[in-house]
Amino acid sequence: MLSETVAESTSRRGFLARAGRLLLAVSGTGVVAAALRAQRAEAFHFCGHIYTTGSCPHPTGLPRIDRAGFPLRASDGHPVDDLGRPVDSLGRPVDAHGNLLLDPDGNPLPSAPRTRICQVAAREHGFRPYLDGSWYRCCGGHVRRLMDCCGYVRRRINGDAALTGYCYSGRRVFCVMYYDSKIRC
Amino acid sequence: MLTAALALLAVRDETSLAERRQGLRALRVLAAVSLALALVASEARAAQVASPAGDPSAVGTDLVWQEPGVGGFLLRNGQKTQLPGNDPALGGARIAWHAGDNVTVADSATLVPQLQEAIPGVQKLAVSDGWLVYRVAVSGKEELRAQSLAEPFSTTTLTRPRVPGRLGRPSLSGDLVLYHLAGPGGSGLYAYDLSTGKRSLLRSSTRAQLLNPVRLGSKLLYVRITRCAQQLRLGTLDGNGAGRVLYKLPPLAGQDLGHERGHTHQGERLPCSPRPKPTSRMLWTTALSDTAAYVTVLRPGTGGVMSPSLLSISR
Repeated sequence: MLSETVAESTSRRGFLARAGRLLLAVSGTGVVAAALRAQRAEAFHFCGHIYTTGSCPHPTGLPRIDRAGFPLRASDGHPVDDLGRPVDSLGRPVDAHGNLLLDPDGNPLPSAPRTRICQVAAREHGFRPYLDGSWYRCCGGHVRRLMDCCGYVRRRINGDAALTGYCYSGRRVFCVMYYDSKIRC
Repeated sequence: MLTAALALLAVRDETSLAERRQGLRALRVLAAVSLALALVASEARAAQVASPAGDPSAVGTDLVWQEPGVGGFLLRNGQKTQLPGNDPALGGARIAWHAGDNVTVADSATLVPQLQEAIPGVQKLAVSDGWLVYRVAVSGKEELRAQSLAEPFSTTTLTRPRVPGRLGRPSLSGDLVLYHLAGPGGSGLYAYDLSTGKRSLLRSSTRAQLLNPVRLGSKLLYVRITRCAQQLRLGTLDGNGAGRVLYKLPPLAGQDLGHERGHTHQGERLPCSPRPKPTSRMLWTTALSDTAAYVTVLRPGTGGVMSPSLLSISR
């Protein structure tokens, strides 16, 4: 046994075997890494999502929400109302610089409703909304909390069968949304 | 290519066109041309009356409006006249304006004052042959009040005080006051019958913002702003029938891709399709005559204050 080890480590065949293993390891690692990277990048429509369930209806597209479930603009995290307009802390529409939008008499322009996006999904599709469990992933250097909008539903927003996901007590996932925390990862 | 495409479309259908070489491109060009023509047609129906100008009111061929920082104007037989006050309103055979807290109701033909009184905090006016209705500031809030022109010392409060921005400018048609109430809970178009004291809800929505109603006969003109469009709509007062869109603008907000970069489209959900190009212009106050509808279009100005332009749209 010892002689074989010595022979392998000194012979040309042994050298080739080691070189082959090294090459396999390097190339194999690359393939696996590339595969994982591809899965992370392309499999689902936003980072951290781990299945095919569609986004909850959101005024600006990507289902980014604040801690309470109200819609935020995905690009910069600014609160938006149901019309998609950026709004201040009181829900009043503001311009791109954060100035309150005023009519020519100086009155604020009328506010529009700002609805939790799981509630919007429930209202549009006729079920009672529940926020049950969450899962967490590292996205863009910050911890992202991903949430299922749950209900006693048989079909999800995609139109096909709904799954249990992170929903409890017999409820199933209707659509998904996310909250980006400030916690670095 | 377009001529051939049109000829083929006339003879067959769009499938046969799409199946030909460069057919799909021609189809896309046709669609784009159609959209552009529709937009041009919509814009062509609208003509700018004045700018900066807003808060119109109309009776017959007479039209009044407010120019911010300058005052009220009357357009009659193509002649533009500055009025001795602000926020003018027309109704029946009367015209009203205010200079500070002093409100004047005059004969609209001669502009000779018929009633002058001080109403502290008065902001917006509406007038008819029998009534003066106004929005007034009260202790940091706003409310609507009415008074009979036959008994000017008797005032009726139409709404309870609301924070600024919730109550719209009132309009008046005979005994019927129309106004909007809009806020985080949704919006509604209300009618208050001054002869009976009865209030009714004409339209309401939690998804669309309904603003600035005016009435002429059985018709109701108002602004409807949704996530994907802004419309100037003409419908019936009782809400029966679909109504018509007289003028429209794109939505007030854009949308993202629906998916993060480097990720798949599968599962994305976008609010508007096709993707609209948003505008910062907003439809605002309205007026209606037998031949034309009028709408104020607000454009963003400095410090968030919107600047108005007044458009006329043929009915």
